[in-house]
Amino acid sequence: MASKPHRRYGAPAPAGRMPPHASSKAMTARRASRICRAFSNDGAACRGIFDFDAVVASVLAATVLFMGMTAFSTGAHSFAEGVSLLESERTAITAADYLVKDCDLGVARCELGFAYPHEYGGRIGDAGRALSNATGKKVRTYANESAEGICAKRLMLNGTRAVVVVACVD
Amino acid sequence: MRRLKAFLLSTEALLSVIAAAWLLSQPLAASELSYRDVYRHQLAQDFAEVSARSAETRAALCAFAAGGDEKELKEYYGELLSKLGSYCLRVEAGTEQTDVGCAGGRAFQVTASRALLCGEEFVDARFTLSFDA
Repeated sequence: MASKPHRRYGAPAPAGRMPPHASSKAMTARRASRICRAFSNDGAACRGIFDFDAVVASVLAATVLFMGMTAFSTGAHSFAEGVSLLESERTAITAADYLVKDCDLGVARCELGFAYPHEYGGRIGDAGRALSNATGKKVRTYANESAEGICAKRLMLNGTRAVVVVACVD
Repeated sequence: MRRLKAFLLSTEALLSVIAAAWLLSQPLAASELSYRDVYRHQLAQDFAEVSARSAETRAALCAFAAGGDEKELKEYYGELLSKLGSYCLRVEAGTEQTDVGCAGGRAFQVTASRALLCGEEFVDARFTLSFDA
């Protein structure tokens, strides 16, 4: 059986087979219809197959786009929350470290300008205000009290007994 | 040839969708970062530091290392742990050891140690804090 020679895309249509004004959409529709008839004997069923194909493709594309947008939005929101929490955690841990080791921002004992880390020198309320000014966030500080929120707890020596100092970030 | 081309294009599109899904899922993993490991090491060091600096606790640890009673140490560290959180603390002094607040199985642990001068001998004091995973 001799096969018909294929016409290249873009090449001019043979005279009498296809009008010169035929659009590419019409060509695609005819091609889809031809493929349909190759698999089915029912010619009526193949009418409008291109339109159906396009609708299914559009619905699929819209679904994928919607799912992508939803996933991106959820992911971005979750990421922003995670970063915010991480930043608060970092501030609380840093503030608690200052409480233990510094006598200007923290509550370490100071003598002749020297700080004694891990030795409690009082002024826990002042430290909270100083740390809030230094970090730009609201930092609450406590000694031997329970606290709520994102808090870091550290141990200091008050006399011969240990006390728990707490730095919390709102 | 056309079918192969179409198959390759479909595979490429599928791979693009999978890559996009993977990229979108990455920010979720980033939110699992935490500074808790740093904090845990700080807490273990705090236990070692305040124990070694306090003359009272140092004496209790030296007595414990020499085979003395562990009750005083258990009460002292138990009170501290009740204010800190539900952690498990293992105190080792010389060859002796005792556990405080250790109820269930713990996964993550950090240790800090100090050398204590007990009389004329140095004793190794180790503080191991264990946490839930």
